[in-house]
Amino acid sequence: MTIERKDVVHVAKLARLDLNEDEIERMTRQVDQIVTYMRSLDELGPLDPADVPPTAHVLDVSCPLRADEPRPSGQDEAILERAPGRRDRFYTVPKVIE
Amino acid sequence: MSRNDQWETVIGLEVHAQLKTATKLFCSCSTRFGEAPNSNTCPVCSGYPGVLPVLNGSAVEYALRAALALGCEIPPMSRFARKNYFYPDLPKGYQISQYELPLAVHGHLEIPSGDGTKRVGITRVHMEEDAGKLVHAEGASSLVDLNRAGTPLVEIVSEPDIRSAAEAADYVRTLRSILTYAEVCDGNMAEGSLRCDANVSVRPRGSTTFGTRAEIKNMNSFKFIEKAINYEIERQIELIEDGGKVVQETRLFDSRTGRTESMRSKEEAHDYRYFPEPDLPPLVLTPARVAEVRASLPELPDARRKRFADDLGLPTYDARVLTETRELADYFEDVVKAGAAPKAASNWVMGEVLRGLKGEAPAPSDLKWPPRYVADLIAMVEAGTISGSVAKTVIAEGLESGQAPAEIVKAKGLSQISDDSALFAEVDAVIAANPGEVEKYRAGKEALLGFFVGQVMKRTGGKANPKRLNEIVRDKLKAP
Repeated sequence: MTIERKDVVHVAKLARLDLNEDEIERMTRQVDQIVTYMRSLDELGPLDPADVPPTAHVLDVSCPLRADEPRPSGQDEAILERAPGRRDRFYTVPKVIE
Repeated sequence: MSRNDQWETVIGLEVHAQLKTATKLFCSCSTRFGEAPNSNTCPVCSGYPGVLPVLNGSAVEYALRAALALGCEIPPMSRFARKNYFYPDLPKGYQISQYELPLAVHGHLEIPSGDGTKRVGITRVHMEEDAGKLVHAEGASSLVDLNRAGTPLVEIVSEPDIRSAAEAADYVRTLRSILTYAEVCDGNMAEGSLRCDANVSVRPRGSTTFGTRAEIKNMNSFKFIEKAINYEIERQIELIEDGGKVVQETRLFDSRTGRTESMRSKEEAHDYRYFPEPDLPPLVLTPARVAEVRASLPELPDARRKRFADDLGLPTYDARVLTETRELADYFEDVVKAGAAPKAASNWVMGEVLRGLKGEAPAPSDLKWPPRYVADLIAMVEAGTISGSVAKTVIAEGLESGQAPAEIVKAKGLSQISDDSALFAEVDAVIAANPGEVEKYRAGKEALLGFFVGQVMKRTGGKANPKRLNEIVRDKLKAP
């Protein structure tokens, strides 16, 4: 087992997922299978991982840049209207206590 | 043995500086401060699904300027990463930042230390987006304003080279000066354009390992940086001396109580699960591009301070004060260019001109007197047209009204009385009115000379030419 129950509980908590006992058990099994599957890479042979830079992006391009020119979206009101909670021009969220 | 001998403080600072771009880091919404809540928002900075970030070219340039001004190395490639956490001011559920491959590494800056300087290392400079603003209103809700969400920031992380609260404030002051010189950040701490977090720990003096650190947030002025860190140092030392242990945690400075308080609400949020941002390819910066940005940097405070001291012959202290902001240094240099001697210009700019500016960010562009007027005033003092004390009145009035010095002197009749016959009459009158003092003076109490000079100055409204007056008084007081 690469992934254990406590890993799943921890990640679920960070991701704000409310899993029941059955789901925790199922997720532990499934995530473990996925991670274990990655071991297939070992079949490639004695490759030194240090020789292979990790792939973060598949396209060989530099990050495209945009001109610094303001353009009002014209959608601020529409976005506010769709919010679950609103007071005047603010979004409302459950009280955050510092 | 004092605590200072037993304990050493170790401080590293993380400063977030808002870049002076017109638009946000990944969308074309305006970054203007003080707009109606949630008016500078769009689907990108509001965290709508299906949208894509597009990087602001000016933000990259400003961040590069900041990094180069801090003497950093620029790796050929940097990468954006997602920092995952949930908080109501962060609509996407992650902040786009840089993690493993930051924009810049290995910089440094020099803070004042005695007569010289002390070098503080800069670990890294990376780009990231700001979160929105939470307003804690009455009732069951908090209010969210996303105008600030997505605003471009650089985070500048220092090495743990700082050893006291005063050094920490000096570091931020120096950093602010460099960033404003490089024109990447307006440096306004009250509006949050420059924010500082401190990692503070203490260790027994002589120890080479670090103690457990606490991270202090919410110090939005130089005064609070010192106050918060000093409070935290005392707290940690007391805790350890009482047999306790410092816990690694985030603590919030409360400027009303002057204390730092544990921020339990964020305790669990430290597992950020960073991973490379799939929506943005790596940022490649060619040596040519870096060289181009480097060449566009203005003279920075260190170089300018050195030039003021070496070429203009100013004392170190003057050079430091005058170069703290680029605007003040420019103002001073313009006074010199208009013909004033550097040291005289320095005295007037550091004295009366600075007095005319209030607050932590002197803005000489707000002054009603152009530098040329200060040079004119200095010339009038040197020519003996007005005395130094009258000049102070003139500049104070000029900074209020904007009137040229010659106009003020003329309108108020402030020209010095250098005409001997007029001065003779004044001195005679003072001598006649103070026979007792005259006798004491003649009996050898020569310190009374100043009394007679002062009396004449009083009668003439400070307009007597002090040099000539001294001579005349001395003459007249000689035994008859």
